[in-house]
Amino acid sequence: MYSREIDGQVLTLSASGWTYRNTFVLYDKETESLWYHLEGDDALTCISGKFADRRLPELNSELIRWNNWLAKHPDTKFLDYP
Amino acid sequence: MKKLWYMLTTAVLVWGWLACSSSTSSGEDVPPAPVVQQENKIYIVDKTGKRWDVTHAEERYGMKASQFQFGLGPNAIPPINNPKFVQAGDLDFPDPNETFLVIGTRMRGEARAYPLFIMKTHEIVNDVFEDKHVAIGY
Repeated sequence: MYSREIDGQVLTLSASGWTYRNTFVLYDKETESLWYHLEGDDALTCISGKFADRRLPELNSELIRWNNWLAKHPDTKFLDYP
Repeated sequence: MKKLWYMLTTAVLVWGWLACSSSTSSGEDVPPAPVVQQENKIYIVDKTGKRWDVTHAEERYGMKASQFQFGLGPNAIPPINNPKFVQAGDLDFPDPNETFLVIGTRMRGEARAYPLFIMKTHEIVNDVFEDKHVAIGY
C-alpha cells in the first residue's frame, strides 16, 4: 500500500499494462507518469514523466490469511466485488 | 522529413514485432517491448499503439527499454476507484474460518481487508481513509 498524494494533488494509480522484471509498472491517470517499486526500496518511484524521481512512500499493510486478520481486527471491513 | 520519420518508425516497429515473434532470447516466453528511438528519446510501444517515454528510466535508473514486457495497454487491467466494503453481518461478508489471503491495513482507526482474489484482476485499488488517499497494489 502506498500514499497517492503529491504536492497537494491526489493521483489515481493504475496498471500501465507493462511489467519490468516481473513487477507491475504503474502510471497515474492525471499526468501519465510511470511509477515503479525499485528493488530494495520502500516506495514507488516516478521513473518517467512529470514527477520524475519523486516518491510515493509505502504505508503499513500486511499479507495475511482472512481468518487471522479477522481475529486481530474483528471490526474490519471487507472489499466487495466492484 | 515527417514522412522519413514515419517510414523509419514503421521500419523499427515492424522489425521489433518480427524480432518478438521469432526470438525468445530473454529466456522467457514473453517477447521484449518494441522500442522506438526518436530525437534522443526512447519509447516503448504497447499493443494499443500507445508510446511510453522511458528515456528517464534508462538514463537515471538503468532500466532497459527492451526489458519492459507485455504492453497490454493502459485499459487492460482497470483499477477499482470507488471501492465498496461489506462488514460483519452483511450477506457478502466471508465466513470467519476462510483462509484465503488478504492485504490488511488499519488507517485512521479503520481496518480494511482486500482479498487477493479481487486484487489479482484489478491490480490497484484507489482508496481513501478519511483525508488520506492510498493505493493498494498487488
